Amino acid sequence: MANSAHMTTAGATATSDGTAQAAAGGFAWPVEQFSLGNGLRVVVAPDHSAPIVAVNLWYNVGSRHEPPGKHGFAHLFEHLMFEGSAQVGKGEHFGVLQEVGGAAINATTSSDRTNYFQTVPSAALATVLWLEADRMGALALTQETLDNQREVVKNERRQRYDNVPYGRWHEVLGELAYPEGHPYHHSTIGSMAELDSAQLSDFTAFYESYYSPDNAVLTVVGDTTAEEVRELTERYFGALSPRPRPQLPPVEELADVLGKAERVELEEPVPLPRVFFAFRSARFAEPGSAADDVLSVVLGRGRGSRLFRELVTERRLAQAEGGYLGTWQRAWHASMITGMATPRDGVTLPQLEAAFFEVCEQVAADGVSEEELSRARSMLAADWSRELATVGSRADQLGKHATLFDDALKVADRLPELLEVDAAQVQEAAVRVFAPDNRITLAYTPTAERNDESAEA
Amino acid sequence: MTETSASFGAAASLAARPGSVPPRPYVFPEVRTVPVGGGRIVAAHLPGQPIAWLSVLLDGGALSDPAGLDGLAKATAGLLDEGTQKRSADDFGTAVESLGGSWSVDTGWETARISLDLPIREAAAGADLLAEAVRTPAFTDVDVERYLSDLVAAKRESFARPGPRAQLALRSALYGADARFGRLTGGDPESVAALNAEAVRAFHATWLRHAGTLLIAGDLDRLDVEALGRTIFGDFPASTASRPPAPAALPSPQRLTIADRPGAVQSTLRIGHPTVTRAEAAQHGIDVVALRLTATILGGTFTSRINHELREVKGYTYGAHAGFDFGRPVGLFSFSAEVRTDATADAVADTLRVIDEFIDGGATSVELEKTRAYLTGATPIGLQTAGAVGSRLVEMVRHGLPEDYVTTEHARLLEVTLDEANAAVRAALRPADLVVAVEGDASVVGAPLEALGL
Repeated sequence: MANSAHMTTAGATATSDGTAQAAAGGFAWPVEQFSLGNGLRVVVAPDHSAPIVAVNLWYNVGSRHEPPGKHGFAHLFEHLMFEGSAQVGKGEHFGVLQEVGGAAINATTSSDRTNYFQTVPSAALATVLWLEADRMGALALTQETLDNQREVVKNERRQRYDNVPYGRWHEVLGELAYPEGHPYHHSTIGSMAELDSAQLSDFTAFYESYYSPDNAVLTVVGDTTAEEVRELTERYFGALSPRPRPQLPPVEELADVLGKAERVELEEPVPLPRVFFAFRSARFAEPGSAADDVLSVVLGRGRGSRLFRELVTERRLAQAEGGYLGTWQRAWHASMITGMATPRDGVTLPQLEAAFFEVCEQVAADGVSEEELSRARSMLAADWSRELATVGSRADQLGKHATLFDDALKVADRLPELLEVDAAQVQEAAVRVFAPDNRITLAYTPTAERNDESAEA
Repeated sequence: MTETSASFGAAASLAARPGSVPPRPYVFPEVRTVPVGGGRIVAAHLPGQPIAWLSVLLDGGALSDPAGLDGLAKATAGLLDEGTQKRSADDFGTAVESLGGSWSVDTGWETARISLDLPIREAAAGADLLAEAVRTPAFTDVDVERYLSDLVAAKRESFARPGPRAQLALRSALYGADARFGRLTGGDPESVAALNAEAVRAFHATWLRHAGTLLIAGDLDRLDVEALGRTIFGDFPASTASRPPAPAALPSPQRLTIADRPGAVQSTLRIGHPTVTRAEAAQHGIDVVALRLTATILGGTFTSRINHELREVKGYTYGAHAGFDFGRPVGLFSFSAEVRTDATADAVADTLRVIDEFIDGGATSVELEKTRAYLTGATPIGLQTAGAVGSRLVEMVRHGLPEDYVTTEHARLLEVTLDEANAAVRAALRPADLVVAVEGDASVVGAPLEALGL
């Protein structure tokens, strides 16, 4: 399918009438999927254990769709979606949801997608669908709202990136790990200058291009039935028209590895020296990506991980705070694994960096033990239980899989895929990820120290 | 509807808004209380829930820190899983994670709490690990030295981030920097640098070697609750510790205090004053459910008076929040926000004005009904996980509330009148007593803040 991220699929599939029970262990609730005439894909997973229902919309648009000079606009647009529509006044969006007892109301924008979500008493399902349809069909975009939300987003940037030590680390690593012009090169938040240059027309065009029923997946999880959702979605979304999306320039496929070993040093007013790492890794759900996830947990997640044991406890090179490795699980182009470590007093950054790579390379050379694998599997299985524990995150997972694979039931493959990864696959992943030409090092040193040195010189 | 809207799709194709929905009753899960040795078990039954949450609540919080050793209670609780008489620190961590467990520690002013959230089939093994950590920690010199030196560095880092110094400035202004309660539970970079292994062992021996309360949230049909309790408390004696006396606030605090952070592009604001605890509220004629409603209207949600004014109208901030913490041993009303530096004094003035207007004019009936519906609906939405149910058990035990308090307070939410709601906030919130603490670039924000004449 043209709008699917992945052409190849495996595992559970929907039966011809669209209903199926997903594989045990991976996803234990029944799922029904259908599309409206305008292309809106709808996923329903009934669960009557509490009188609540989650409504989640995945719009298949993220910062990867932003043209040059307009970085941060997908996220700023997400803010504008809360500022009113044809039948909802400015500032009333949250109020409408609160009046019906809604909670867990928010939206997030990533490089890959934008999701909007809320959970409400199930009796209020119609109100939420009406509200989501109103902003999908007829958003109110005004200069006043844009100016206000631009300031809010600039404050968000200050609070998360500019006013905190190391705040820009993932932005800098992203710029180093993806070539200029690549859809993942820029951060989702954007720059102050580009945000300042945003015009109302940018957002009317963005809305028209991407906020169309045929570019969205609507997921409803909780105390409802497929029949009810079918009737309500027809009533509220059925008359909205599909709209064409712009043809984006083709993106050149990235190699499996970065093809460089780069080290960048930043002097900033940070309290401690600290080093961040980036490695190119497999795209989400592509061959190798489950092994990359398991590798990251074995090496870099938790008190029993190999990096913690080696660097913090045994060799006393790194501090307990801030030692980890994690996968980004990006779904449209090659992903990244990033890590971080902080040296103890008396240890230099180059010493710590060398030891960090040594521990990583050991896995490539000698593999991992069954005990290490078993710890990782237990953690991943428990994570998955927690992830599916609330109707809200369950809906988000279904929406994600429907968006990426045109089949929400692919959600049932997620955990089994992770649990099937064996030691040989983890080692293969380590050989690829920790290749000498696949690493970026971003070292922060405190400004004050340098100032002292130069004062003495 | 705004006039300059650029709408797409014919508005005629949009359906009309559905009618309103009546609020629903809610019943909190069944709670069982069982004595075990010198302690007790308080357990909530969540049929079918695959995750269990176990939490050991013990006397011995930050108010028990010896003089000069701020942060000792917190560090001691944090060291319980860093090696036991049976297992090294690494092996203990591996054992927890091999059960799929998530270990966490929460130290308050009066209590320490050690929690383990894990798949229910592993609950008995998890209780063994909790018992091992609480009863037989090793506290070897090597492990404690490593943990504490990392803690000093972590504290330095956290104090370099916006927030802790603003919070410290507010507490010091309210209670005086000499009072333990006028500082932070976890201490500061200097105080944690003074901690050592001997002090940790002594704190554990004095405070944590006694029975307390085991809190459980999970499918009780699959758990042997009493056996879990016996595993953890065994033959420990009941706690005989007397609760430290409630700290007294300064009679006339300075109303403005600034923690300098040169070059900051945002200022961190904390504005607040002491209030009653949950248990004392009734004595002062304060209905906590009514107050929860008005506090939510003032500063508890995105549409609150405060967030609306500071974020949506003025664009000073990414978000602003205010509310009551009825914690023990003293409650606190506080406002918090990070605002852009050039708007600092205006943001403070606007915040105080919004609070003043709210106390003078009160909430409106529209706000009350909307917020009542929101809080009523939000209760079951916020209680979907074992850990979330567990946090209500913590509140129940900490404040001596009845087992059905969540259910009865939920029912009470449906009855509160506008007069009752406004009376509650007027009894609990005193604008003239609010103290303003600002962490920001004093050379830029100092003069405009002084000019407010607080």
